[in-house]
Amino acid sequence: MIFKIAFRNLFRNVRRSLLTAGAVWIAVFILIFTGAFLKGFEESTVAVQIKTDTGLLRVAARNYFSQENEWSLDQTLKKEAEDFLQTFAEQFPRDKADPRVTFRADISDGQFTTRVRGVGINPDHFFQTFKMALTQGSLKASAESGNIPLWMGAALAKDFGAKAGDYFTLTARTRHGSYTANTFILQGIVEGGNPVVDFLSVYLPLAEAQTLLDMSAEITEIVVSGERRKKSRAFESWAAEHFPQLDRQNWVEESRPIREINTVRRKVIRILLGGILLIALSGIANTMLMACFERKKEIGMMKALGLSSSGLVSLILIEGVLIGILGAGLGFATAWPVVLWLEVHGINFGRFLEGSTSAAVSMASQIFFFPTAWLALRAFLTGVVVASLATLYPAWKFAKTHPLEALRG
Amino acid sequence: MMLFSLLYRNMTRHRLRLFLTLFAIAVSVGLSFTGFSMFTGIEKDLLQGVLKTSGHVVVATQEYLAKSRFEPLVYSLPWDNRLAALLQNIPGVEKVSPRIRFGLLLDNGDKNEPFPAVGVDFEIEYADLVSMVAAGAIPRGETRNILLGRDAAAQLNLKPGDRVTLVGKTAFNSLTAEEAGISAILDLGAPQLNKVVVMPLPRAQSFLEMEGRVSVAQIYLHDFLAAPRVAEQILVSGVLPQDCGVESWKERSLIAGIYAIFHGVKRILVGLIMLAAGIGILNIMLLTFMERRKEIGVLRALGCTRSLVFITLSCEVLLQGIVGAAAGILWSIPLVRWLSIHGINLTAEGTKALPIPVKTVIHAQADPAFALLAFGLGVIVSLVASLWPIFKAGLIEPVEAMR
Amino acid sequence: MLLQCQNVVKTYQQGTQEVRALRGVSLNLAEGEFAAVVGPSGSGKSTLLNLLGCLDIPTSGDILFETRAITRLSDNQRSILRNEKIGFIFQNFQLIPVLSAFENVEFALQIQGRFSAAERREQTQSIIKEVGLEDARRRRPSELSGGQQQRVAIARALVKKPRLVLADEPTANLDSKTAEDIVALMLRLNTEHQTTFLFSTHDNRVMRYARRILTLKDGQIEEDHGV
Repeated sequence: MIFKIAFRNLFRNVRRSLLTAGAVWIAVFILIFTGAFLKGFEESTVAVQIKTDTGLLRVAARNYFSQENEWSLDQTLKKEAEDFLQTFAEQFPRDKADPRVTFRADISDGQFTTRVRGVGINPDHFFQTFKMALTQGSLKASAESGNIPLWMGAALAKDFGAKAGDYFTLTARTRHGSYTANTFILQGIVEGGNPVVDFLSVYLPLAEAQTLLDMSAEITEIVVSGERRKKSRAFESWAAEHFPQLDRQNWVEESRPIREINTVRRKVIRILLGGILLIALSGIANTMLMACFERKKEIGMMKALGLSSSGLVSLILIEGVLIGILGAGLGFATAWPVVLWLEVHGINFGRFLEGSTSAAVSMASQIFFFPTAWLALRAFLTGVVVASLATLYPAWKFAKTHPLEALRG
Repeated sequence: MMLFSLLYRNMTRHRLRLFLTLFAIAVSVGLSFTGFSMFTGIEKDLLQGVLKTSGHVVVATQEYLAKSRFEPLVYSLPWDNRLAALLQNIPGVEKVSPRIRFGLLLDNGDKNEPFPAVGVDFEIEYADLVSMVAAGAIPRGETRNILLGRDAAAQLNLKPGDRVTLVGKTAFNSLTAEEAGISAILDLGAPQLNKVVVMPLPRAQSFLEMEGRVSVAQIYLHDFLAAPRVAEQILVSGVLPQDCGVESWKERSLIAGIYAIFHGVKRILVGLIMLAAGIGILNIMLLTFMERRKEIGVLRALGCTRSLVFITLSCEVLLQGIVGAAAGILWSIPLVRWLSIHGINLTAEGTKALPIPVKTVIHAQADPAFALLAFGLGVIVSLVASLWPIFKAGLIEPVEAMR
Repeated sequence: MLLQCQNVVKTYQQGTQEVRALRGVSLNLAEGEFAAVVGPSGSGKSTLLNLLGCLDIPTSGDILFETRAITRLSDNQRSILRNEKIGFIFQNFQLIPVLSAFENVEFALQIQGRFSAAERREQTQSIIKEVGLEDARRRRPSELSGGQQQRVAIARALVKKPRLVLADEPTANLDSKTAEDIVALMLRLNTEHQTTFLFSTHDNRVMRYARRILTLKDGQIEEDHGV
């Protein structure tokens, strides 16, 4: 019955209940909105990174990953690569492993030169595994007149004003330190939604890259991709077991910098949310105090009827919890549709990003919000808990009301 | 006078209620103040860190601006003291820094590595260079020595006093090589910047066969927010040679985008804080005034006009707003001060993922203007939130006194 | 003997003033009595009722309820005593506005916690019938007339079958006809259930029904006679 009373008390003054719940409403709304955004940011970025560049796992020679920024061609794979690719295909027939040679190069159209990341790949296999949009040309190496094909990221192509069929010279350093160059024809322009791909990368056939860099049948890394992220663990343990001498880097480690930026963002937002919740808390406490004060006689009467102090505390607390549920519920109801819409449509950050040649980590251009049930639950509970805490003091204070209060005129 | 004592006594009648009202106001005002300071600090640190390398306003040839990614030396800007002086005289300009950006190969005898390089005027940049010295010293006067970023030096095992061979391509696309001594190692504060090679401008000009020319003139202002206006001014002033363009940082989408985001987020968050506070206050005020129906009824029965009731209650609210807002500023001042000195530490990992170089510690910008702004907002929100309750209270008829 | 008061004194602070509400009151109340306490305002009627109802303790003197000294009971014990043996009817009805008439009465039983839901409902139903509110039992207090509200209050006081019912000016907010009806009802219940009724009142009509009248003046009993 106490619950019945508490519940109906909410409707005594609907406007007041709504107002009180208002601050919780706002807080929960923000919690859900920012939570979905941050998670979506992480997700989108990570997903794009996996989809267009890093796959679920990268395997390379010992120490390759720790020195990746130095673009050295000293640590390469040869025989192990063959073994790996072969046994991998047997073990995981439905998943893909692509050999790559990644190197630093300068690309020139005759007039302008800029630094890029060169990636030697098997075009047929690679472009099947890594889904990129083709904005011009074709993904297939056309068996023409001795022209070596090259594919370029869309933003890079735009900077050059390039179109399919244009010629480019790629200059690089072989693994022995000497300079080497060759001319290529732009076969196609790709777009991955990933700045590292779009702004910084050129792709060429693996064999040509190896020739250019004086690497006979050697590669720098193997990129493993699968349908499901969960499989990355299977890949890793398999690789650890059968090829322990090779270095591994999974997608989780690759995405760490992104997730760390998010940690910073989260910290800042948490502080601000804490503030808003504080305000909500004081507002609810205030209102409950006022409401209890208004109902002093009623409370006194209940005491006179024999309601215990703890019973009274429960009554007030339940009212607080209900307000919390109301506010959190409203917050959820208003935030969820917004967040769901944004999950599908996303926000485009592409126009804010310019590549700098030292961007070492992929970031997505289109961010899709990522609402999860867990987020909604967390936000909801936070709202309810705050409201409950807020009523603790009023409950305690009025629980001690003496029944005589009821009898004053 | 009677009314004021009534006011005071009314307010203090319910100590706890008063406290909670003031608390709500104080928390929101304090948070807004902290929020303003923090965000502005972030803007300043982050943006200025970025803008330090690229300048607030950039003057270059149109073709260079269009193809700046390629750092095309061939599209250079003729440069002399006269032009420098003309630009310096434009109001708002603090520093005019001519620069050439190019790629350089450094060879220490054992191995060679490519690095980004920049030719700057050591005299103009002296103060900044000195602040970044990690080892060695910045040479004064004419010099042919170069400076190295910390990571570049580390990669090639170089220290001040060493000599190194420089290999590059001139503006006419021919290869050129020279030897140079290293005067100092610099720490430019961001991981991505520390691979740079800094060369004295005259030497760069001769090395690259660009005598009398530069790639860009990077202009720094007293207030980086005035950049678009100054850019406009430079354009219309006619000091620029033909085919030259001016670009303010706001036209560079990445930075402008980030700035816009910060600004937007700052405003939204403060708005939300104020909204939450406003709702709380509205609630409290409604309750308060409704509770005093009888009392107000009595006042009206005694002859108080509606407007007098309005005024009295408004004064109460105003007073509460002022006291609450003042309390809000007071409690947050130490916090803001602490934040402006110690700041918040962004982990190095986190900053590595950003495509722009940023400082790792962000400080709040303590500015009395913000305190005033937060204070004012607090008072206004209290008043606005109470408008309706006061209005309703004013409608109370004298007959309430009898109930 | 249900209640025994021995030289009860009650003083309390009102601001900076000390008020001596009762200055030595002694009386005995037996089971089944239907008594009224009358006197001008400020004579201490409410205070006396509060004390007898174990809502308050005397500054000095003893009050024995069924031979137990309530002055020696803890707060909790007094709560329990009130819970089980004493019913209250307030001047302003003091019903819970969000509960229906039926629920208001049932609530009193639920607080006791002794009965199952079915038993509660049964008992509530029967008392509701006795006070004549069967048709209005689902209505909320705001939808009931003054008289009906007071009936609910009476039902609430009686549903737990107390030994003593205290009513503070029960007819103060009612018109003539209703007031008479209410007091007649209380008398009937008193006769049927042998519940002791003690009420404070100004109202002559109420006094007419009373079988004993105690007159209070300046905190002391001036007259005490059966009718």
